[in-house]
Formats: sequence, C-alpha cells, structure tokens
Amino acid sequence: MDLSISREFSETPGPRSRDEGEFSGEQFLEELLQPRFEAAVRDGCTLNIDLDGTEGYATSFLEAAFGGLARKYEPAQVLSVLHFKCNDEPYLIAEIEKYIREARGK
Amino acid sequence: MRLTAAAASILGLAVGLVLWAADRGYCGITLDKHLKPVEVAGLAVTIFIAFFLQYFLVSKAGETRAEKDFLIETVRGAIKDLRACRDVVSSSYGSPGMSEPNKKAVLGYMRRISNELENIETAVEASSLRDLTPRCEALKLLYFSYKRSATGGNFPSKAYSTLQISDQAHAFRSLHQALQSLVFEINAHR
Repeated sequence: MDLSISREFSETPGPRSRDEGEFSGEQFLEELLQPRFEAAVRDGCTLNIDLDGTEGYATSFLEAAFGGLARKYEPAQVLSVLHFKCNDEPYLIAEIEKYIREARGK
Repeated sequence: MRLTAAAASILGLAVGLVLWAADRGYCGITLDKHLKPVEVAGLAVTIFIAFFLQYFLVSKAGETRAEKDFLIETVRGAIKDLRACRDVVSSSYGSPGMSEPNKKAVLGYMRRISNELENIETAVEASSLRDLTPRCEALKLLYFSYKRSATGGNFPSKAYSTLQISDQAHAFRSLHQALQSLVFEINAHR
C-alpha cells in the first residue's frame, strides 16, 4: 500500500496542528496517515510512504504526524508497518524514526 | 617533469665529466679504482632514497592534500548554509510567526545542510581519512537538534519563545563548532 505526501496531501506541508494553518501534521495524520496505516494493518501489508516532491518538512509537522501515530499505536508496530522513501533529504527517514521511537515520552 | 629530466641530465653530465677528469688525473683530481662494496651499497641506497622521496612520498602527499581540500570545501559549504539558515531564523525574532517565504527558505536550507552532511559522510568514508567517519554520525545528531530547535514547536505559525531562541543559539553553536573542528581535523590529519 502506498502513500505519496506530495501527490495526495500537499507539496507544502504546514505546521503542527489544524488551528495553526493548512496542511498541518495533525490534518495529515487524521485524514491520510492513520486511515492508511489501519488499512495496512488489516491487510497485513506495509505502508510505503513517499516523502519526495515537497518543499520540505518542519519538525513540527513530522512530530505531529508520525509521532502522533506512535502515540495512538505501539511505536514498534508503527516502525514495522511504515516504510519510507526519500531521495530529496537523506536524513529525513532517520529523523522520522527518531520521532516515532520518542513519541511516548511526550 | 621536464625540469627534473633536464636537471638530471646536467647532473649526469657533470658527474661523468668529473669521473673522466679523475681517471685522467686532470686538475689534481684522482680516482681510487678499487671498488669498496660497502661504499657502492651506500651509494645505491642514497640514490634509491632520493628517487623514493621524489616520486612516491611527494606524489602521495599531493593526493592526500587533494582529498583534504575537497573535504574541507564540502564542509565549508555546510557551514555557509548553516549560517544563512540561522540568519533567516533570527530575522523572524519579534514577529508573531514566520512568513511563508522565510519558512520556505529555512526548510530549503535544512534540506541543503542535510544533503551536505551526507556528502561529507560519503566522501570521508571513501577517502584515506575514513577514521573520521564517527565524527559524521555526531554531526547528524547535532543537525537533528538544530532542525528541531528551529522548526519544532509551533513553527512556523507562532513566534519563538525565549527558551526556543536560547535552544536554537545553543544548537547552532554546537553544530557550527563541530563543523569547524572537522575542518581543522581534516587539515591536520596524517
């Protein structure tokens, strides 16, 4: 199962929460990431997330989206279901995985 | 190379001339024609060392210098973008939030720095200075800290708090210092 953030959500990911502005991490989590994650778990497959093609991701967005998912589900499960692809920014995947692992501390 | 060959030719000619003069007894120069093996061996070793120094060590030093220059150039690029990013971030202090163009600029710089750090890591691993590779892992973690301090929290919609500004200054200094130290270490590497 695939999810392209630039094609299906926005080329300009925004702030942390909905009340701060458009294309927030919270919006992404509720409208796309969580439903797709749940579908992937139901179907027993991985969710391949394509991070390329956007203007860039603020930590606030990433933490709200992926950290938020890891606060709803076990971080280990999130890490096993999500697979990331990113050619634009080499360290982005490691950064996201860090937020997933540290999510329960927040 | 031409100069070395010309110099070697002139030197060879001069030595040949002296030996000929010594053989004939001209100008008071004499030649002891008894061969002493130890002295011949010493001469051979001296010639070998001269060529070894000239062609091996000097060329190796040249290759290492080229690697260092390339790595330093790459690290300097990251330092330049880090400073530019810091300038954009700090230009928003006192404003209620970050403007869209500035937000785009900050995220663009963060992406560039990330790519530059990855280039540094790849280049160090491929070079003769690969024992510096652990420094690259440390740089990555410092980069994460800086990115988090600058684009975390309520970025870009709300103003930075005093605590966030302090965190940014600290994170910037740490990453900046680490990059500068890497330049000095690369330069001094043997």
